[in-house]
Amino acid sequence: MKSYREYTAVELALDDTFQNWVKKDNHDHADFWYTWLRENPDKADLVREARQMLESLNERPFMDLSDEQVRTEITHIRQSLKKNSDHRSIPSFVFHGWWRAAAILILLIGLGWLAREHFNGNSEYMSGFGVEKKYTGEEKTYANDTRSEMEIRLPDSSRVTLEAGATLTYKENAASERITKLHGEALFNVTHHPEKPFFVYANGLVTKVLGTTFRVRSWDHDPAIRVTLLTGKVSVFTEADQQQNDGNNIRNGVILTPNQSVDFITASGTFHKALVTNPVKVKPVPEESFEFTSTPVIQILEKIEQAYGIELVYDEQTLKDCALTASLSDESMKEKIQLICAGINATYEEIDARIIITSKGCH
Amino acid sequence: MISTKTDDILVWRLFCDGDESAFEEIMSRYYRPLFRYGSRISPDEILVKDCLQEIFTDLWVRRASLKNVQSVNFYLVKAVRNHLLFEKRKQRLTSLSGDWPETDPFISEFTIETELISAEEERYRSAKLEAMLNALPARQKEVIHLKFFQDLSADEIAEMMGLNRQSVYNLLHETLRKLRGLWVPLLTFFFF
Repeated sequence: MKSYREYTAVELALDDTFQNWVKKDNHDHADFWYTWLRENPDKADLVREARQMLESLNERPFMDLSDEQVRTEITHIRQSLKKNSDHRSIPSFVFHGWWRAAAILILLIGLGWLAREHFNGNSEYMSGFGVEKKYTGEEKTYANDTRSEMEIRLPDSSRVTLEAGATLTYKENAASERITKLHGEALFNVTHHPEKPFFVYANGLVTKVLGTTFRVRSWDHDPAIRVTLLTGKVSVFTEADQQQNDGNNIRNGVILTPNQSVDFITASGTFHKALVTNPVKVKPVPEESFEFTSTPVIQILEKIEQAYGIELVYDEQTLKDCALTASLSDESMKEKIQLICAGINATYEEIDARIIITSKGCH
Repeated sequence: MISTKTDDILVWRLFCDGDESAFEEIMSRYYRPLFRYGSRISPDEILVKDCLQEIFTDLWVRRASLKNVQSVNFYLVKAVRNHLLFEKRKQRLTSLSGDWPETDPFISEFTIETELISAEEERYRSAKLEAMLNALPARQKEVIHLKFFQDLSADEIAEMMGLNRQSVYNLLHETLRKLRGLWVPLLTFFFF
């Protein structure tokens, strides 16, 4: 990006942050521009010129409302929303024939729905639009009947994005465990409650979490169930294993760290761990820190390991003389590895969610 | 009115999660500027108010799916524009008189702050510039309005109005260059 020092007065006046400072007296932007002016005192005239341009242009007011009128309108909108949520939008025009029948049917369904909501002491203001919520004792069921993904919030305030057609039930058992059952695919963002472990049961597979973001994909037509981890840590095992071993000493299971996913092949009962296709950084690392000048390759690899939280396997002895000059800021993790390998004449393969780098060394 | 874009996004996220006070905050921040903009597209107070009511009601209903909105201001300005233009076209189709203009007018009258200008000659130049700005076609006036009075970026304007990015930039550059022209002689006077 071009530095503000190279801007002309016209370009400066067109800049959004500059305009915000001048026209809106925006505090955040003002701080920035005052600091910038202090650091670039030679640009004071340029700034004044740009300010003048913006300040000199005005527009004759046309129609406007008083603050009072605005408040009235906002109250009006709020009331109409409340009314809609109470009556499930009954249009006010006159119905005819089939439309009338259909409208009455919708009205009855709506009233039934309302009664049920009321009975359960839950009349959240138009909450969970599009998601049907049912109560069976303590258990809550969420079904996404729409054609697009749907965000829901569980009672423990965890967030779940349900894919179209997916269903999820939630309850807390006597042992204070958060138990969910998933049918289909969903992305979980679980709130951190170490004393209340969170379980996802999907087709015989169990994912246990303490607080994290991960995706479970378990459709009946898929030969495998896939769990992908974005942040945190989860363990994945089979329901059968959990029952046999009372939840302790799970023999057959895997632990996932970020950027890993596991496929559980239903037919064979086996786990296949892999890296996600496009690993993302697990730590905020500035892009510039991937600019290297004659840097030992081992240092570069360590940096990648930390940034993406993945394991790279290589022989330190062989790589100790290798150094690279490279700019790897814009590349994805896999492209970074590819470029490094090309630079030091090495090859790589992915085995069991780890990347193995094989090289003959550099001389 | 002070509203930073970063803060806007925070409030917007809360609103997407169903926070009613965040929704109120968005309405009280944006109702008035949106009304001012809308009435320039369609000077029918009732129509603009109805349009805003529909937009905000719809916003609340669809809040869960609006998490990806990058700029609240842009999203809302665009909604108002689409809504009102649609209403106007509908009216045009159903009107019997058929004497509607081909292009949609945009009501705006630009002025140049003359308090800042003392010399007679500059006053004369600014009057000329004012006349020139106000003689611009409606769409160009709208571009200038959106940039300098509705705080949209040039890219957002191009996207919303379906214009070529370069032509939006050119128009804005040209406008500012002319405004600058009012001052340059004054500045050189100070310098020498």
